Amino acid sequence: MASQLLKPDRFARHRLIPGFDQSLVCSLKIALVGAGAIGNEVLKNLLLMGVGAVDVYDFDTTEESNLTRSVFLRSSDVGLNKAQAVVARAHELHPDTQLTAIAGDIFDTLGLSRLKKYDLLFCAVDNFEARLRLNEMTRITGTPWINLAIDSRRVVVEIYPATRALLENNKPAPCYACGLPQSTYERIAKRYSCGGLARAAHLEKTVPTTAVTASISGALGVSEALRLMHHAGEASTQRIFLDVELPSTQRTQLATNPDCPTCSEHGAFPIPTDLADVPQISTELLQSDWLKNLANTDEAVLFSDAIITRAQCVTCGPSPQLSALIGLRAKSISDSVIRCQSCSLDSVSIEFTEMGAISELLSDGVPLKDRQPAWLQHGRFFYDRLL
Amino acid sequence: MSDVKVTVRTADQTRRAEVELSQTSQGTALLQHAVTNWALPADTDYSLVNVTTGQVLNPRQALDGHVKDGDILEVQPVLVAGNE
Repeated sequence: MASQLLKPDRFARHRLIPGFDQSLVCSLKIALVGAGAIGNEVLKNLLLMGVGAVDVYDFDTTEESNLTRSVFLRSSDVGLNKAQAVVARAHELHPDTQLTAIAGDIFDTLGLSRLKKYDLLFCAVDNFEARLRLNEMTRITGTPWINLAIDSRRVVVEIYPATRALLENNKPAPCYACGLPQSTYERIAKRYSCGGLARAAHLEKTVPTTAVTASISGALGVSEALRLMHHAGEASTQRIFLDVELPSTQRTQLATNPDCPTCSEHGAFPIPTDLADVPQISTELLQSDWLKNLANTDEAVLFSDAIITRAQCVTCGPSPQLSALIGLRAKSISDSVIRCQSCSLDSVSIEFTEMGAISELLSDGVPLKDRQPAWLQHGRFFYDRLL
Repeated sequence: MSDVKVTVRTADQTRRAEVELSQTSQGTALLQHAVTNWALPADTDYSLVNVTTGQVLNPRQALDGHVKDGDILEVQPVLVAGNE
């Protein structure tokens, strides 16, 4: 940040904007999830605005079809991880911004503690599961975030301010899941077998998008993010819906859903009623008050994800290959594993759980470090396992 | 409870209807009718927005208290793409 402030000419035009705080912008640490069409545009704007640091997350590899919408990608990047390819080229735009590429699935790479260190998160992914995951995580950490999505003519920008800022200003704090229709959950469910494993044969719908909607999305998203960072107390949870063909833009207020599966009082991560209810996050399991309190109890702790606890062929019995699945996230495993490689029958039985007792986790022979839920939850206490 | 007279339209404004709804009806039912009657793409999810009040309506909540005579309700697609 200091080196940026010594170069007054670079941001001279920004400093002419009434109320614009360049030093604030230069201090921002941002998470950008998704390095595709929208992610490229968001990153371009963040770099030109001079933000302090951006961590770019993406598990996907670059394809030829990405090149029509991604300003930082080239033909030579095809086959390379998107986050790494984008960061390698984006660095030129503003070398003083600390840029980091994090290749991999956010379910494995983005933990609560890491998320809590960011001032803001941009969600530029292409599926509901990742959006719902980031919604859950930001609900727990209280991190403000901007949700971005497009098709070939429409742009959606949703602004989710920090829960704390909303509570302090007596404003409603709806989450992303509040407004999702039931059909979305039905669509997600189709991706998984009844055993909770990913369906090997599931085909994703391909949505047409263009550089035009991607760039509008990136511009609006960064504009709203900067507004949020400058005026957190005035912020509310909003959606901007823009149609480039009409053209029309609507700004609407999102509403809380009393039946929301994520943030309602009977949801997974209820909205805190006051600041004392804000979740507590620890990375030190053995030293945590939480473990000390649970040490002599058999109370259940919830996992962030269903994990496989048993995998064996009902005919052939256990095998090293199937035992290797134990502890993994069920949704990360294809349902093709139910075909036994020894007898070639669909005879592999998979069991998984979304909860357990801490004593059981520590003593059943499978070390906790080899399990893959990203976090464990007991009440408002979260133990983060992805550091 | 009395009915409410509203205009329902698609986001691209190519389809539009004046309808009378029970205030106990839910957004979900209205969305389903819109998808069926207007043959909207079934592989897309939709949300309901009261563009008159500037409020997104919860799909599983009754319209009562959130919609009044003359309001315009818009059926908007739930967009999810952007990383391809």
